[in-house]
Amino acid sequence: MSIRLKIILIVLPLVVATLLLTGVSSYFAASNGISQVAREFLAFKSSQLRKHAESQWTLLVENGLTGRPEMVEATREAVASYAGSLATSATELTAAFASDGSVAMATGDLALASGEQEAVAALAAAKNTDYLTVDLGGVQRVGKGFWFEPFAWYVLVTEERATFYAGVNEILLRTLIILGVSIAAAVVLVLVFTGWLTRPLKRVVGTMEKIITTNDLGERVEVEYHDEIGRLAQTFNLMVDGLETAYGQVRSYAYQSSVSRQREKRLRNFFQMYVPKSVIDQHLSSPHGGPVAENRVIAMLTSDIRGFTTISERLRPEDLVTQLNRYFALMVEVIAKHGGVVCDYIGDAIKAFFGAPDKHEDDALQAALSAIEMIEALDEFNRVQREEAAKGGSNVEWRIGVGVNYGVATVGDIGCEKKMIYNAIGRVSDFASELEGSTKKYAQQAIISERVRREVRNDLACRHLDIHPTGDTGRPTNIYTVKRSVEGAEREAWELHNAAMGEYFPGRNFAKAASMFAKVQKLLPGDVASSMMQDRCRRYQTASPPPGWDGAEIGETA
Amino acid sequence: EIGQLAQTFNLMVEGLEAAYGHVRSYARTAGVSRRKEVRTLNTFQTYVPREVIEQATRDPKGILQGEERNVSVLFSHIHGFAEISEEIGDPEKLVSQLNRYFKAMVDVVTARKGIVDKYIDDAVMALFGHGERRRDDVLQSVHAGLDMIEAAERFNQEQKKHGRPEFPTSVGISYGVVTVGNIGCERKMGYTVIGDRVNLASRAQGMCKVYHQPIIFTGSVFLKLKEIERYQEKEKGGEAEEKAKDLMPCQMIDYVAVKGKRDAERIYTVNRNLAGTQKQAWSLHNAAMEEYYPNRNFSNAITLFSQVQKLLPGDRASATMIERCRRYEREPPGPEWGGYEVMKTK
Repeated sequence: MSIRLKIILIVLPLVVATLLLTGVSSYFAASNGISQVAREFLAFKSSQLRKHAESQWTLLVENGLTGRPEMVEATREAVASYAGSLATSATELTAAFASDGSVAMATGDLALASGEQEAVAALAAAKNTDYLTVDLGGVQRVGKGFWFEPFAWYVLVTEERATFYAGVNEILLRTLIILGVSIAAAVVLVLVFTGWLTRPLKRVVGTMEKIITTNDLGERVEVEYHDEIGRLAQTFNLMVDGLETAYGQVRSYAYQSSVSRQREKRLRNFFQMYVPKSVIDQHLSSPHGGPVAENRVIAMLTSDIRGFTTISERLRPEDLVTQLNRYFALMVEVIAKHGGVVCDYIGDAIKAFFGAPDKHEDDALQAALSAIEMIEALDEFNRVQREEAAKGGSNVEWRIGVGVNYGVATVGDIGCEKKMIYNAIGRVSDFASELEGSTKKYAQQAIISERVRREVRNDLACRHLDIHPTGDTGRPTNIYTVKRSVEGAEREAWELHNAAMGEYFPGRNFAKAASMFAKVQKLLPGDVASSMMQDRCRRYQTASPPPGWDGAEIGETA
Repeated sequence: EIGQLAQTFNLMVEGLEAAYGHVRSYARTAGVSRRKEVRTLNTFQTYVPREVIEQATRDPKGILQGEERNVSVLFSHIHGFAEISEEIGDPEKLVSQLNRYFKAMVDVVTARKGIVDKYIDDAVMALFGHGERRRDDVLQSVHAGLDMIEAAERFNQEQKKHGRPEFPTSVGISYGVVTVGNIGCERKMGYTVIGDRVNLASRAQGMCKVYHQPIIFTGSVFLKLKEIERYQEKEKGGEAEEKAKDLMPCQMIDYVAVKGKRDAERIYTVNRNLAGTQKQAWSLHNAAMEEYYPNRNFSNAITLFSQVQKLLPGDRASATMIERCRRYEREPPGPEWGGYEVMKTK
């Protein structure tokens, strides 16, 4: 039920009741008043008549004329005419009745109906002096009467009831009209007023509902007055302000959050170009930093570009970097394909390791395969170099050397707050560099250590090149070159060469070894490794190495 | 209506509560994201110079480029690090000590406005003048070299105190044009310098062992130093002439052609705190080097070198030179002699 209705239901009855009460009471007061006046006037008239009659009879009595009928008659007529003169309106009727109720005198025409006479007789008998209502001549009348003994009259001064009560009726009518009008006015006013009161409330509720249904926080309620509803509206507006701000904040935070996340993602992608992803992840997940240093068995791969200094001198810096980057892209792709981590570029050299941060069973094999494929990729690189050179560029073909070793290294984040590198250090790494450095000497593109060979000998073809005096452990170690596979003459040559190496050391059969190496030369014309060994064997034929010789080239400083 | 109002009011309060809940959680998320971003950036910056990161974020495509710059390249190296690492054994201890050593070195470099380009196992490669160019970059690089040797000394004192092995350090510096840039490919980037000046610095450092000097730099560095001194002299108005001249007393060690190169370099050492006799000895030594080459006045040279010996008993540089002069006295070199020794090793 609406408030308006409630208010109306309370106020309207009150107002109406009040009005009614007032109306009714004033009506009764008025009507009583008027009735009273009418009655008193009637009574006055009655008493005046009586007084007159009595004074007339007294006159008679004083003059002793009561025995004379014509005097009594004259007095009667005088009283009758007096009665007539008392009438102020046409509807007044004063009549005298005999004790049987018959009309003795009347100021107007009067013919009693049958029942009426008896009623009058009864009144006369009772000598009724009260106000009474009596039907006379078929007309209801109000009157006041008295018994006048001398004439034996029952005198009644009457007025037509209708006339008597006419004033009252008029008042009644008037009151009713006024009542009606004022009640109507009251109703209208109450309706209007309540409407006017509750309108702001309706508005507030309406706005609230609107906001809730449309979720549009831009709406506000008009504050029309400074009453409770006004305050309500104000408070409501404040709440909506609050909500709007809150949602604004939510949106802005959500946006910030997403922007930050995007930036972080971009940053991390860029970061991953410089540092292995798992290292980064470790950094971000652990509170204090990246991977902890530990000793791990890893395969190290170092590669270098032959004569790079000379090459770079002839190029403009932009061209140098462009070619270098093209080269790196190819090489790094190979390394990544085999699960290696490129740790750093040192000038034109690439340093990569396999087995950290994640270890695999075949790290050494993967490293060796990388070396082989890098050499294959170089052919692709050089093809483009030739193309560019044909177009007039200053590109030349590049030659590389790759060294692969396998062993324990210390792996981890090395450096300080200002500068870090995820690196693998140790003799393993140093020896890999040495192997790479010796590729020129043996005219080979890739050289691996004994430890690597042990891991790959079932999968790749290896050729025993020499014995390194110290290796990475301080003890002499074999070094090899490696290919995926060798066929035909090359295969024969390699097998022969390996056998010859056995004759060379520990066999010390230098003559035999030399001849075997010669045969290798025939199978592979221009082969540097075998011709080198051939020379060495010839030398040691004449100048035998001392006892305890470890197989390494004598006079060779590590 | 009041009932409706109350209902609506409750709905609003609920809405507000939920909203504030969201605000808190989103604020948290935003904070976390932001922190993560900052963390990533910070971690990143330890691996890659900040300017590179900034440049890359501005222009991601343009990073794979190179340009030429005049920089001073400094290499520091720890002798016999392989043996040292074996002595330490435990990898965490090794790396922890190495990191402390590196921190000392890096702090020196940053204090002298240089940047650490990379670590190569136990070596530190630093650059001066590669970013914002300053007039005295080369001077700062030489100071840095000397600072690093001093810092290494302090580090070694600490090591000794705790019974840990010392890290004997030597420094090589060169100066000249290098190519700076992001080299590599998308999978792996390295922001570094390439060029023969870089190799030269490394070779210079390698010669420290041969000549028993803690620091060696090349002729280009020396010339640049003198240039800076003259300039600083001018700045000071000439009254501090004496002081400025002795800012960086250098001793020319030799004239060598490093392995793999045709051109010869003069190599020098330097000492900031030269005592009186030493100063004198060094002047004599440098004069003697002139006599040696290009003057070919070997006997004069020997005389001067001997004087140096008297002032600095046991001085290796002069002793070596005396021997060589004697050798050339006996067998004078031909007319094509360039005055330099050819280094056979790296």
